[in-house]
Amino acid sequence: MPREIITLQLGQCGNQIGMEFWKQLCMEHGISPEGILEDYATEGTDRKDVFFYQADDEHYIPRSVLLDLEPRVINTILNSPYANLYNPENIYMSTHGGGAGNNWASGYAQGEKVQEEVFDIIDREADGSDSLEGFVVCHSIAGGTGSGMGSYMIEKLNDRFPKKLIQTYSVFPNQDEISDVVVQPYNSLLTLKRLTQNADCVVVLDNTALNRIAVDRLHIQNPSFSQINSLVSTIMSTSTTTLRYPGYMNNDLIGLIASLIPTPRLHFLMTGYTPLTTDQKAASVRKTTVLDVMRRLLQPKNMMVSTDRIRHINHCFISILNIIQGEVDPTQVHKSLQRIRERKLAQFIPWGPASIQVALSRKSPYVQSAHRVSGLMLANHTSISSLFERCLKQYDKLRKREAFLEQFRKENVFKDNLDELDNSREVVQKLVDEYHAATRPDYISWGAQEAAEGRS
Amino acid sequence: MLHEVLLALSGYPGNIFVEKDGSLEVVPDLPFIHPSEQEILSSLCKLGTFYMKFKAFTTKYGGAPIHPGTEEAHTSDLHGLYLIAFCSGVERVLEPYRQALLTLEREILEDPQLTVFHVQTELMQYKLLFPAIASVIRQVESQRAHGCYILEILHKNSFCGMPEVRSAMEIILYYCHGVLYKQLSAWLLHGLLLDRYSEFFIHQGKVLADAARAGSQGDDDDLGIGGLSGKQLRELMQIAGEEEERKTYVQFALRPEMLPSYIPVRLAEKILFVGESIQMFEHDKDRPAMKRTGSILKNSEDQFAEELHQLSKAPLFNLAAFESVIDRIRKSVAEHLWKLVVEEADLIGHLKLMKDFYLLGRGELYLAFIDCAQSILRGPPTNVTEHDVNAAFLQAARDVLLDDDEVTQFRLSVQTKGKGQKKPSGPIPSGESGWGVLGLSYSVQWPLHILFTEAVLDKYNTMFRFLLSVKRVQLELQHCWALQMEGKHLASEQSDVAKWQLRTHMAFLLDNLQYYLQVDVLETQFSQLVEKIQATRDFENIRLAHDQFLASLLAQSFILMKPLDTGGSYVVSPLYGAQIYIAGTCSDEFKQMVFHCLNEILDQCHNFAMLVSLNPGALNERQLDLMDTIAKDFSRQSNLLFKILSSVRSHQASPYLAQLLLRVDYNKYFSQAGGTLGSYTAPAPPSSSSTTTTV
Repeated sequence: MPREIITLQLGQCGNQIGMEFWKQLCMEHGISPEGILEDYATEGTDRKDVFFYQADDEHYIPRSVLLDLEPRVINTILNSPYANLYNPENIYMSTHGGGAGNNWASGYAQGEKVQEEVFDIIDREADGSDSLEGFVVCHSIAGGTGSGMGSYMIEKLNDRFPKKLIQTYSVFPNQDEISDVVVQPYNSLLTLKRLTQNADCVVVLDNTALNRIAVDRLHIQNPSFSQINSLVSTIMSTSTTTLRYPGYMNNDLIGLIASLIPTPRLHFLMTGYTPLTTDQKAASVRKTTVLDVMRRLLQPKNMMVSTDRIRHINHCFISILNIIQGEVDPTQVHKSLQRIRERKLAQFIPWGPASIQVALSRKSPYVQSAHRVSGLMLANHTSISSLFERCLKQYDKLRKREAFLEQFRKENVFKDNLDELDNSREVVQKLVDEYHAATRPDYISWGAQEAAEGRS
Repeated sequence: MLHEVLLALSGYPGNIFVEKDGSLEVVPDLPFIHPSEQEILSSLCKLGTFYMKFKAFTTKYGGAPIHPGTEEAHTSDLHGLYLIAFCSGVERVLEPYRQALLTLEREILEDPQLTVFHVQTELMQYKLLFPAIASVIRQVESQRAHGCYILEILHKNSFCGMPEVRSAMEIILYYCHGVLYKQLSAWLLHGLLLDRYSEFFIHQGKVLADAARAGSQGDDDDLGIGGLSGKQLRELMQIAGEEEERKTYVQFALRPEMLPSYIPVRLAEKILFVGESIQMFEHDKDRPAMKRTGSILKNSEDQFAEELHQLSKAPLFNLAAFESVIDRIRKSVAEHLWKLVVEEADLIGHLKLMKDFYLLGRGELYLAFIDCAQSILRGPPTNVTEHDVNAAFLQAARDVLLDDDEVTQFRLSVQTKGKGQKKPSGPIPSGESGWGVLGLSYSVQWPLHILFTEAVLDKYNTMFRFLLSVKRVQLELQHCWALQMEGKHLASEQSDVAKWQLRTHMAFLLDNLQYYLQVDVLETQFSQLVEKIQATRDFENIRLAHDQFLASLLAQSFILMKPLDTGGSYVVSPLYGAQIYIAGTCSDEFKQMVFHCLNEILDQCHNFAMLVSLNPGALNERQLDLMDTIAKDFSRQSNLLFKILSSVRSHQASPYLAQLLLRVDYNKYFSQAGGTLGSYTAPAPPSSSSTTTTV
């Protein structure tokens, strides 16, 4: 019972980060691009079976489903050295290949159309696992396929597999540059509603922050997609190490995320990673202590989510999990925790117990790293609401002008009215409100207050 | 007449000197003896008496040793090699006396004019010596001195201002040491306990697993199957089963009453260790592993034998020289053992294995196992439980792709009450179910059994049970989280909020307890242990480090090995906690309370998880009451735990209490909430109104 996890990658962005993720996993488990275990990796005690399964011919095949409404990205994958890694039956490209035209509604509608074929794939994968634990969805919330079809798939997965967890790695659009997708605010808002109501855990990958990190921290002038994606794949692979290597804790997805999410809707996690390097050879070997790593992880500049400083709200951590890899002296963990508390480096919620949980994890022996110790932080922080607020603001601007709505009205969901948009706005606004409420000591009674106000 | 005197001095009575009440006396009022001569003769008589007694003693005990086991061995009160050596020593000391008598006789023959005064002058020195020897013999007889204890008596008596007495004692001691050295070299160089009269200060303790065997012995012997007696059958099985053989190792122990005071206990322990180790290797000489490693002392055996021989020849016992030889042997043995255990038997690898299995280092294995075995162990164990559990264990191991080689070294055991084993002590959660009596056994490979003894494995098992119960409850609470998440698109209702709030607090406490146990305690202690093992080349240090490792694990996990004296009904009121706060003591009582608290908390969490997962919908009134009770118990226990943890002022004495406190009170919510987690406000029963009431 390895608690298998099926990965769904949707759309251009989803498939790109998905591919990077699998590349990274193959490297860490010593699996060649063709899916064959390298000679040096045959003795490993790692748990490849969580994310891979072994075909009859000893090939390791990712438990991954590749979905897109246009063939471009998937074709790139199929022309890469990793073409033979995936199960070709798990690749679904829309027959007409026209894509979703960066339109959420189109993606959603096409999702509905193709769902039978897609769920044939998913059901087959699910049947092929002993004790499926859940799904990981990789997508972006801005475009058409990842957001629209992604939303549809998340809803349906939740329907059909109510007992399975759904975790998403959701890429949020870059706010610093003007997007070529004008309806991006609509797409994001509509997707956010599904992420709030149908996902169990959303790992937010904010392109704004990722780009800033690439520029400021890695000194790359114009970061390319692949450079950004390698950051993403690092985060994705590190956040799953406790599932993929033997260890004393967090051996399954639920164990990993349950402690991070004390209340059902506040399940949007931000990540931080240190030390940051893209080119691993360039970095000089440095002596890094656990305290260094844990302290750096708490610095906003290492966070993969760009949040605004808001004066009147006292944003705080709801929970923190640090996954620390490498040669760690376990006695340092306690000292670091103590030091961080003494110096008040992390502000926590006032309405419940919270702490920094530190999981020590193994590092892949097959991947050379310049750093002795590296760390990933998964954090539930109330300031993530600023991302949603930003989204709401942009949506309101667009909506006020009733701009670009014709494309949406063409699809079934919006044929009669725009209620879905209004409803989504309400859901997201409520999410923002809840995050704000979570900064206050009376958060526990907040839901009841809301309900009472709603009735009166 | 002088001849008569000489005879009397040799211990033979005559006409002038008669034996009376075991002593020689001059016949009084002999006309030809002047009263002054009478005096002198009387004093000479005393010498004669002593000599006679010595002779009697040496002839009685100095002969061939009595065969142990014969009737005589029981009836005769004094026996043994040391006694014989003692007799030879006495004889040796008496030799000059006899020479003196011979000389006297010659002189008397040559010169008939010699007076009795001459005899007295010549024998003057023995007047001091003989009483001393006599007193030693008296001590030996009266204290029924046996074996090495004779050394002790001699040693005590050799502290004497009179040089003659002193040297005489040393001579006797030298003879007795001859025996000691013989035994020592057999023991130190070959691991042989040549001690048929049990005189050595090391003796054979009880045979390991004696009790287990004794239980079955009665049955076995009666069961004569097809001409084979039970005993033979058992012997056959012994040869077949390696595991059985392992248990035939003999335990040796010091006998403090036999240890002469001039050999310090630390030295004796070194001697014990060396012999024990060598004994073990000799025992296993025919093993393939042994052939590879060769003799434990390698080529230095001859050298050490020579050194011991040199020591035994020295007229005086030189403790410093003795100790340095022992030290050298010990060092050589310890180093060899270290090499064998650490390098050849891969001790660190085995320790990692122990950590993976006993200390739940392989979380994913136990995750799978708990899933598989949940239904088997939920109820009270039956006869097939053990088999089923092992099948589940193997299945789980296969599922997480563990090496079969590793897994098969471990076996789960379920102690059923039918076997008469004592019930698990203390309020282990769900003590009635199979979980509470689950144990893990490990087939220890030679030569690691010297480290992983039964007692050590027992301790590992205690840790195992505790960690497993924490893990189990943690998983149950995580399962409840999944139920909670199903409501993510629903508007929050008050009843659910309170329920899930309680779950969050419970899970928080358990998660942090788990992190504390695994990171602050297990990982930390384990890394220290590995460091220590790598820093030394001495086996004894390893054993010490390993013992310390286990002791700290148990202490820092608040586990008590001894059962709670109050037997479960140990309800501590918060007030009591406050009293302890004032008293500020820290010791077993603390640990006991923390352990009790943790167990109660585990129980309540388990009850909560059961209640919630069996009733995923709204709870009815009775269930709400139950929830209320669980919540109250939980908050009371968490409060108590908090009070205990925070009451320890001196964090130097028990820093781990502070470590646990830091984790559970990291954002100071715990302390701000008055040290209570899981404050649960019971919602109004659903029957009272259809909508939920608000605060």
